Amino acid sequence: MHELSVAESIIETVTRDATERGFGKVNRLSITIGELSMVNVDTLAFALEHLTKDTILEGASFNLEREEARGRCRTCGEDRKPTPPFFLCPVCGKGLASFSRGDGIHLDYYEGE
Amino acid sequence: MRVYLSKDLREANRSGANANREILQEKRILMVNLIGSPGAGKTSLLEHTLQNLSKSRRASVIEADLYTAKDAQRLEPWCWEVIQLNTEGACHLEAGMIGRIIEDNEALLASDIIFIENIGNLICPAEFDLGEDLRVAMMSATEGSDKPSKYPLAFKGSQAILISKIDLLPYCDFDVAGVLEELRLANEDATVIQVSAKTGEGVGQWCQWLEQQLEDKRKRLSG
Ligand SMILES: [Zn+2]
Repeated sequence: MHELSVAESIIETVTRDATERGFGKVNRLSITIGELSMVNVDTLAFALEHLTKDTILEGASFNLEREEARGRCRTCGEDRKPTPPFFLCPVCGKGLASFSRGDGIHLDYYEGE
Repeated sequence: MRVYLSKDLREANRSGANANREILQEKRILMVNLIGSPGAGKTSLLEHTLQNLSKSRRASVIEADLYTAKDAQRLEPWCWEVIQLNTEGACHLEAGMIGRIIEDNEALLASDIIFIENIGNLICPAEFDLGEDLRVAMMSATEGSDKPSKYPLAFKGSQAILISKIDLLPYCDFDVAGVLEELRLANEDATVIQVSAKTGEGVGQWCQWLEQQLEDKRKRLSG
């Protein structure tokens, strides 16, 4: 539900970096979206397309990758792909101590000219 | 030319949250981030909580509301300090918004406890650390039993979970035992408290839990 604000901060971050480097245009942008970040990829794509109008990102292609969650089980200590909806260890059925993947939104790279 | 940023978008929020945590530590304040869907009864519960706590503690509220100041006005008589934060359509609060409010508000910083009533929503607020000591997720008996499995992350990251409006249990199709079992799966460490703002049931237990958390934090800070 916060795809709009996510899109805004992506555009802001990339615009600032691209402008500092003297780019006039951004053609491509790659982002990894963790499963736990509560961001819907289609909604984010839609928001990006609309909010980039009249910016240096207008017309850019967006490569949005979804990243599955992984984390260490607090019981067996192994790195596992947790089972939804409660993100439990598939072996022990217990909660994970921490997530190693899938809980962030990462700006990977962009292509500018 | 390809530019690698390798940047986590939530970094800005994380550093804002850490800055808030530092201020709260220095001032020995306990901050509680209350999240729940619209109509879960957050404001009603706060009203009772403040009445109970205000006898012994300076309890303040930062009240997030989309456009109005109604809830803040309701809470004002019991608050040490109340701040209305109009978010104009935003779906969640971010650490920076709280930082700007607390950093130079002397009255607020003289509080023992600051409650943040987050925007009514169980999805987005669960993603944003505000620098709070405790996150509390709230669900009401009238919302149905499927909340924990629909919004697991809201419950997963919370230190306490409140089931509210339990005075209405006889009239609702709410499976208490089933929900408790799901909450245990989602978050076995959380303290689950059943409350009713109408009858006052559970409010004492909730306030005691808060008092204990405040004492524990202060003990940790002086130890
Ligand atoms: Zn395990």
